This record gives sequence, C-alpha cells and structure tokens, in this order.
Amino acid sequence: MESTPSASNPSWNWGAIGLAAPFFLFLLVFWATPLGNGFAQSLESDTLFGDSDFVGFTHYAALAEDSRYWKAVFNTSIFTLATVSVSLGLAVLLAHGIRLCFKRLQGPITFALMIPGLCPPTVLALLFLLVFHGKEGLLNQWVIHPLGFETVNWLSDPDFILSAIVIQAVWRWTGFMTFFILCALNTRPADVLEAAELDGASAWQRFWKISLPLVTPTLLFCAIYLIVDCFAQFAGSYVLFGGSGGSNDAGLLLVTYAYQKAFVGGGFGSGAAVSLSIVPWLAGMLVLVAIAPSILRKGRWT
Amino acid sequence: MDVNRSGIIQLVASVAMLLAACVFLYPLVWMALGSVKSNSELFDTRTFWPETWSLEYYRILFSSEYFSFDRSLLNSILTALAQGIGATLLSAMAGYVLGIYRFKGRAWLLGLGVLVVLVPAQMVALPLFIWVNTLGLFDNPAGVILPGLVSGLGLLFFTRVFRLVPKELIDLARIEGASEFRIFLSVLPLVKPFLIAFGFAHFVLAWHAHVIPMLILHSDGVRTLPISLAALYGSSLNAPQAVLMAGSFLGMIPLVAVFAFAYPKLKSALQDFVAN
Repeated sequence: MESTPSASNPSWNWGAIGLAAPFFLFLLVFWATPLGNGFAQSLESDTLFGDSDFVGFTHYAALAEDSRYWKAVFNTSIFTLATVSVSLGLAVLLAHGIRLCFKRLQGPITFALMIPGLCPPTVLALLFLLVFHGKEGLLNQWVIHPLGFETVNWLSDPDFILSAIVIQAVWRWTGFMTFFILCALNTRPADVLEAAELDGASAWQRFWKISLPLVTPTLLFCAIYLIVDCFAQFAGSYVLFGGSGGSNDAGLLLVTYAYQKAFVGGGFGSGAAVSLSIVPWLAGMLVLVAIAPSILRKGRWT
Repeated sequence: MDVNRSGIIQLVASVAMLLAACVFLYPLVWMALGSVKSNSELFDTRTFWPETWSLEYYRILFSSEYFSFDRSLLNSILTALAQGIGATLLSAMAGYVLGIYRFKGRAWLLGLGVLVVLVPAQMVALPLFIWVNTLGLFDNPAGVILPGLVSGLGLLFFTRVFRLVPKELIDLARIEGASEFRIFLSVLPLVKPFLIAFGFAHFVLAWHAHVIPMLILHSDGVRTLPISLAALYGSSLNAPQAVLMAGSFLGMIPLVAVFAFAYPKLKSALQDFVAN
C-alpha cells in the first residue's frame, strides 16, 4: 500500500474526528462493551440467582475435559471446511461455465443462482426440512433412490446430519460466491488469454497460471466470509434440530452449544466461556486458509 | 476462427448452466407451489404441481390466526432498512477518514475493524442480550438496530473504496476552504455504486439475523418475520406447514425486488473494487 504524505494526507483535524467518531462510538458501546462483559462473565460461577463468585478460568478448564465441547469444535471445523471447499469449488466451475454461455443469458443465470442467498436461514431450514424429509424427501426421491442407494434419514442418521447442514450452506452461498468470482474474472484483460492461447497454452495451463492467480484475492475474501458465517451459524441448525445438536450430537455446532449452556442449562458463565473460546478457533481457521494458497502454489510456507 | 465450434460450446454451456440454475431455484419453486397445496400433498415430493389449487393458507396467513403477518413483515422491512442505511453511513464516514488521512493509530483502528469481523455479533449474542437489557432496550427494535450498525467489513470496505477517489479533488475542495463534512458529502456521489452495494448486503444480513432478534424481541408487535416464522414452526400451535410456506414465500418477494434493483449497481461496484 502506498503512503506518500501529501496535502491530501494531513495528519488529522476536528472535522475528520467528527466523521470517524460515530462508528467507533457505536463499536465501543455495542461491540466492545458486551465483549468485555462476556469475558468478565466467563470468569464468574454459573449462579442463576444472587451473586456469583469469581472462579477465574475454571469454565475454560472444564471445557478442555468436556467431550460435548470437543464434538462441537470438531463438527464446526468439518462443517466449515466442507462448506468452503465445496461451495468455492462449485463457484469456480459455475463462473467459468457462465462465461461460456450466450452473453444475454449470463446476467439472468447469475441472478437466478444468487436468489437462494436471499432466503433467510430460518426459511431455508424449513425448506430443507422437506428436502431432507424421510422417504419422500426431495433428496431421497430425486438423487438417492435413482442412484440405487437405500433411503437416507438425513436428519436423524448421525452419519448424515453434518452433510445436511453443509448442503444447506452450499445451496445458500454458492450463487453469491459465483458472482464474486465472475466479477473478478471479468476484470481480466481478454488479450492476455488470447496471447496465451496463441502461445499454445492448454486450457488447464491457462486456468492454473492466469485465471486462478487473478481470482485468488477474491477467493480468499470469499473463503473468509464463508468461514466467519459458518462459525457464527445458528439459525440453520437451530430450526433443523430445534436447538439441540441432533441425534448423538452429530449436528452440534459451537454457537448452538453456547446457547444450550446458557439458556437451556442456565449457565451464563460457562455459556460465555464457550462463546469466547470460539474466537481462537476461528482465527486459527482463517490463518490456515490465508496461507493455504501460497502453500499450494509454492509448496512451502512463504 | 471456427465459429461453429465456439457456437456449440456456447450452446452446451448455456444449457448446462440453465439446468444448474433450475436446480438452485427448484426448492424455492417447490416452496411457492407448496403454499397452495393441501397439507397432505405437501410432504409428497412426487407431486410437483398441486392437484387442487387453494388459497386457503394465504387466507389463514392474513387472518392473523397464528401471528400478524403484515406486522412482522413491516417490522422486518423497518429494522433491516434502518440497519442497512445506518451502517452504510457510519462505515462510509469512518472509512473516508481512514482511507484519506494518514495519522498515528490508523493501523490500530483498522485492526479493530478486523477484530469486529472476527468476532461477529452472534458470538457475543449472550452478553449483548444482557447488555441490551441493562440499557432498557429489551423487546424494543432499537435493541436490535443499534448493535446492527457496527460493521467491521463496512469499515474495511470503505477504507479501500475512498482510496479510489482522486486526491486532486479533495485537495481542491480543501483549498477552497470547504469543511471536512462538506468534502465528504461532495465525494459521496462518486462512490454511489459502492454505497448501494454495501447497503444492500447489510440490509440482507440484517433481514436474516436470527439469534439476536430472537433473544431481544419477544412480543408479537415487534418481532421480525424470520422470528415469527421460526416460532410457528415446531410450536404447539400446530400450524399447517403450508401457512409457513405461504409466509416464507411472500416474505421473500420484497428481498428479491430490492435485489433486482441493486443487482446492476452491485456488479459495477464489485468489478471496480476487484480491479483496483
């Protein structure tokens, strides 16, 4: 990033402070304060009525021994990784496919693909209740039975619950991701590709050496967006499993677990501890994804 | 070049992508058709077209037998609109300052923006709920709207957007002695597509919000549509599923309408943004 000081880069003045202040004021009151309170709460005992006691990091220590917590961590990580890879893989494919279509169809098709993203998660979950519904559900009727497999009980078979929420997230977000990638691809100068084609570069080489580096920043943005959304995922699994983790906790996600601890179990302290413990997991996942492209490309860290 | 070959590729790709679009839209079409089917037909996916068309469930929906549909829809529109406009304004103002000024601590403020992205409101839902109660905003739309005005993504987005504004323009305005707020207002039209793109995205996210409105909004008069619908589902009210389908379908129409309006702006904004 360039940072040459000039007349238009003065240090500060009251007008600038006045413009920036409202945002940071709101941030302080409605984000930093609850976050700080939550941390303080996570150090207090789970007393429902009366004064609670300061217990330090007891709740966090208890989480390390809590098998349900680890299950939630595992589920959330798998859910996130699967959603990101399937959704972005599909989106890259769809974006390239759309670019090959007739010009007039490109806009309408992209628009249609994005409509699921407008579907509120609650409605989505409801809809998917029917998609996943027992023997007569859409998925069994149209995909599983024609392929000759046995009926899958998507929402009660522990082996398939996670796939069900992944499918739901993929359906919802792939259109938007396709749109982002299309926008990145459309900024690519056409003559670069033509020159590469004339030089005898294969379609695969053109994709790997030209298209992919061009969309890498966009893909990274998409991945970050999806990861944060997956980690904060609540509505989908809440409606599908009615606030529980599904059978055998196979669909238990971290935010759902925090909700359960606090509102079902009445433990506001341990619930807050679960919530806050999500932050390092999320940060770790983001770092993993941020360095993944360079590892893939160069085979080493930096 | 062989026009024939590329023509065939275009045709094949078009057909394949249209099919993909159909797959993506299928559940929604099914939902729309489900709202006019009888409840027993609804769960039988083998029938696509309703055997008998009935608007019975729409009548039930509007009769407020289970919840007041129009009130919930209005609540959703108002709370999401307030958050969309408010967050765009706050983020644009702060992003303008961080994008154009160089000062000590700027990197820290941007880092704070990254932190807000890392810790979304859903994650602090619990302490936020308690805090909103303390402020006396329980069961009040303001308790959902005010926290919804903080967007870390918005700050980062607009910080980059305002770097696209030609510096000469700002220098000129400054030489003429315009106040900082005036200069900000005068460059706003230049970034209009970005304002619309972000405003729309935030509007949709606000519309979708579930956990915070669910905790804070309790009475029927203030609940948003997704919360009302979710409460209906699986409740002891035994509402027919088709009523839910009808409510969900009608509730999506305003969103798709706003999207159709914002789509071209969204596209040009994103292309500019990625290109720079």
